[in-house]
Amino acid sequence: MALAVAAAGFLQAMFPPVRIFGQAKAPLLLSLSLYYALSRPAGVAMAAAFLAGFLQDALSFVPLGYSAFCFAIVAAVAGRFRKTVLTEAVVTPVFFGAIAGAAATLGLYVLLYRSDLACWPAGRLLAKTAGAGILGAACAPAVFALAGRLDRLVGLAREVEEFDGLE
Amino acid sequence: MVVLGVVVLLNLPLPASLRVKSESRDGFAPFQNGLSLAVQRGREWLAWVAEMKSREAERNRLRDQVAVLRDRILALEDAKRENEQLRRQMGFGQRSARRLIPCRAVFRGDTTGWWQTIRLNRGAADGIRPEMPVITADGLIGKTREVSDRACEVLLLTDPNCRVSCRLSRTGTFGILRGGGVALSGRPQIEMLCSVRPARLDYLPREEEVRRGDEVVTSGLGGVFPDGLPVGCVVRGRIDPSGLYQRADIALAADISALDHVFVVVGNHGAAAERKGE
Repeated sequence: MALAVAAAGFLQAMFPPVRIFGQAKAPLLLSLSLYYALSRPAGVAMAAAFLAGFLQDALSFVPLGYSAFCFAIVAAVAGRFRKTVLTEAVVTPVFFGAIAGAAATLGLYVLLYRSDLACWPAGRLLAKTAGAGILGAACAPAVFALAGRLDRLVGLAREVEEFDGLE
Repeated sequence: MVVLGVVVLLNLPLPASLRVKSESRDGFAPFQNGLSLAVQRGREWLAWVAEMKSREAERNRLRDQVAVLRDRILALEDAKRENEQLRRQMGFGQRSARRLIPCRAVFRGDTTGWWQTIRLNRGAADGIRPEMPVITADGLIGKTREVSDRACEVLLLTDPNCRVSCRLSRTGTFGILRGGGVALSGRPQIEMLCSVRPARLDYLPREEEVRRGDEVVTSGLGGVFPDGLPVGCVVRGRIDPSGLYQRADIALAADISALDHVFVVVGNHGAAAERKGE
């Protein structure tokens, strides 16, 4: 998990922000914490969200803890649907990625605004929120597929299946 | 545990928080530098392949240019010698206390996209500190903000949070420059970070004449940027909607969309103080 989070953080930092989406970046770290929220028990999911949020903050001007807080809330909400959705289906990461991308961006903005660190005009904020949603919908399936593959590679996917009572 | 972790992170004292961020960033720095170098080499190789045909003509042109520049260097060395001699005669000390640290931009933008930044491959170990000006050969591009041992983040002039005290070199009129940010529409650019909005110079006196093409330089006020660094030129001036002052749109001198090698200016504070004293 730590390796996957580090790789996602590295790639997220590398990808340039998309101008027409209000400088939104591909939310790879958020997508990864969503993957763990929808495929792992709550404890693991929250640890992943914390780690991903911590890394996002460490590699940006965002004060430590803001992204971790937002990701943890997103993971907690998504985790409630863990047993009612099919993680393997493409529509699941698309839907959750879009909602989570927009919600986390808005949540982070509220925290930054309250700390006087960001003050964006409504139009650009809307574009960034919508853009984060679109990028989330686009990135999450790829992240889910790669993370699932990595899990199978290291032999973690089977454990999860047993944990979910599927076998 | 996670809730406790979040609470601890949110309530960490600022120095501790900065130290944790700095350590994390340093952990990533070698990988980022390596990847950035690999990407750069790849780009250079592709460019080399693409420009095979024009290489011969380019070589001849460069040879001529080298001859011209060599001649110019000789002339400048003469002028420098003469300048130093005159200065000694007039009793002035060495004016320029600026030292430049060459750096390479390894990444554009932070992980969240809220700010317009670049990450440089040098940090506190090389003498870089927060709030130091960053320039290219064309002019000012921003200032260092968060510095770890082996990397630093630069807040670009195009970010609306970056404000610089500037003056028009023709009239000496002071104003505050702030970045225009990135517009959502406009000419498509490959470099996503490129600002298509001009920066804005606020608080110019109403009665001052602001002309298109007026050069804008740093004023030296505020203690961060030394006096006289080129910033850009005026595109157009107009009265602010409040009616209290003028503001001008400024085209930045440095090409923010193509930042590769930049310089951090150190030791400028002493020079600025010296100039104010004079």
